Amino acid sequence: MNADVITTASEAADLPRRSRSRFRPSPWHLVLIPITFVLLVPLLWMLATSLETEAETHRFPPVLVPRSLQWHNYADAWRAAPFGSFLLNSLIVSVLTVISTLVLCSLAGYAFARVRFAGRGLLFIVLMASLMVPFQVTMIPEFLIVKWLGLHVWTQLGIDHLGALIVPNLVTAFGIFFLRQFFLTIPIELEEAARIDGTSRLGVLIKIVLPLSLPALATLAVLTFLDSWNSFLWPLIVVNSEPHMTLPLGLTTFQGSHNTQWSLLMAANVVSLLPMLVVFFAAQRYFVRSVAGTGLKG
Amino acid sequence: MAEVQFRQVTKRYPGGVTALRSFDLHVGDGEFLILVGPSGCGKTTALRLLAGLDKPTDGELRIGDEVVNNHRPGDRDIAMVFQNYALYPHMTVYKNLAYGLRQRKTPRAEVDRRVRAMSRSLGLDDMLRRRPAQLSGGQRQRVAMGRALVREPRVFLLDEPLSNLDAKLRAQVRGEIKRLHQRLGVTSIYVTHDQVEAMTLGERICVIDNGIIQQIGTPQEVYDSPANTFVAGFLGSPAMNLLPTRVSGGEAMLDGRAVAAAPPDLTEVIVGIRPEALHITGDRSDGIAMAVDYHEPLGSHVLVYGKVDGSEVVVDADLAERPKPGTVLTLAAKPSAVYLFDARTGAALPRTGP
Repeated sequence: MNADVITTASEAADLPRRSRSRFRPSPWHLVLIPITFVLLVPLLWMLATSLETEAETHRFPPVLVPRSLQWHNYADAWRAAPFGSFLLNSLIVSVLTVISTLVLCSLAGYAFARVRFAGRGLLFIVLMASLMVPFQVTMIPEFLIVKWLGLHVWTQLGIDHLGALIVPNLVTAFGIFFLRQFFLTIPIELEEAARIDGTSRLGVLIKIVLPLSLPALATLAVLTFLDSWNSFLWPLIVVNSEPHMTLPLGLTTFQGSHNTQWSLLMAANVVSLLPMLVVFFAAQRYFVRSVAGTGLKG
Repeated sequence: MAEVQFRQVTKRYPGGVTALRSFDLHVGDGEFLILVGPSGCGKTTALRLLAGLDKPTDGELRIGDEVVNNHRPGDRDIAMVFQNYALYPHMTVYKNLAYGLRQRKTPRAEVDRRVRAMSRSLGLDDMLRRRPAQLSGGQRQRVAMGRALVREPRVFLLDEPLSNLDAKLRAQVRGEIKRLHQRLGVTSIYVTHDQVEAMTLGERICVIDNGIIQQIGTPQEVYDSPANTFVAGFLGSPAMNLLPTRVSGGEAMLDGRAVAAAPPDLTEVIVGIRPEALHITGDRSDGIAMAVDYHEPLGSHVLVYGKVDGSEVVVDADLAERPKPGTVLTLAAKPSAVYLFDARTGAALPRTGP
């Protein structure tokens, strides 16, 4: 009797510690661990290849562990192409795209969430519909618009300039939709209280709504950054001179029609991947929470 | 501080719901007025119109001698306490209190002085650095009150500010609100569906149903002479017994007995008697018979539920003995405690006789 009581008590004392432990086996691990493996293999292979000699990259079966680490591949890759300029272009395009997307999508998303205006419902449906249209369908009209902008507005916005990479992505329908959904979850009384306290409409957005939307803003920033950083097709169409190339486009210069220096290409790939990994891990905490919270695509 | 006037204010929402119809109300300078009614009666709408959060479809709103229909909420010099408090979650208590003053470009030193004075008087001194999420329900409620009052508004609006508190805290905060109003004397409009809050807090109460004012008066006036069956049934706990009866020979009859003189032109009236005005007599020959259904002991007294002439009746009795279901009790009431209402309109009939 007495012993029973003691065991139960010690079990109860154990409970909080057990629930705090990070690893609890679940059937999902049987699925998730193989998937993780499948996702990691190409990355590790890329890393291995980037450290191999030229000869090792051509061997079959593939060499997965290089005999000696060829760190000089990285320096060679950097010298083989204007890598610094690719990196800088990518950074300019991605950072400007992220900033303008956050600003413009907040404004538009807030209007769709809270401002009553004629045609709001219809406009929103049109916006949603535009999400269903694949990029390949609109890229030719977009190309013509950008060309026109370059000829008639400002050369920097036109074909073969960085502006052509930024302007079409200043604002996205997805960003507007994503922020609108988040703004709708903020209790409207907070905004009403701020208005009674003498805050303007724009002030409510800046001082109340945006500070409460940091998780959503961080998520949108990461998604936009990754999208912009990885973008390949659009830069391929509008940019054809080396000084205006972004990283993904610049990497193709490593792939000749007759021979490809795989080790240098992979070293360049690893370098171009690093900023994305940094951004992703920095914002992962917000990212996971808000995507899980809103049930949106990741 | 200022007086407030609603003049023929109507509010129709898109979709055809009319929340307020030709609403006329005058709130005196420094008065504490309660808007009370069942949920959906339009009382919160009235408050939101005055705050400027909604626009009236028709009519005129005045604060002081200004028409404020087209003023923005921030320009009306009003403050509001929301039912869920609406404290800014990303700001500390200090910043919550200071926010409205800072928005009005009050000098920093003045803001600090007023925030500290307010937090001291509400006992929030130790919590200025905390976020709302780290406060208890009662503390949040006090911050919400403080945030509204620190601006020293002309009109103070409260939308069911106690409904998220537990019963004990509610009684305590009710007292605090009353003291605060006596000290500051701000014109206040307080919305509630709770008739106990209405009776205990208000200098005057305004009973609303279906977007229409049913009666305005001091709590005692409204309790003593309800204007119609709605008011009679809404105020008082438990509510007034309302018994539809026939008129025969110029008298309203209950259980075959004349209980009050009725106007000769009516054939049906509703007799109203408050549970506390009924008493149980031992004398079977001189009273109304009630068949007991069940009772609720409340410690100091007992509520006995039963039926008279097929209508539900509650008696607030001072009984030592608990009546068993099925027992027949004999009830009596002073003639002065019997109310009559028109059965068709529900309006109170003028009281005649002694």
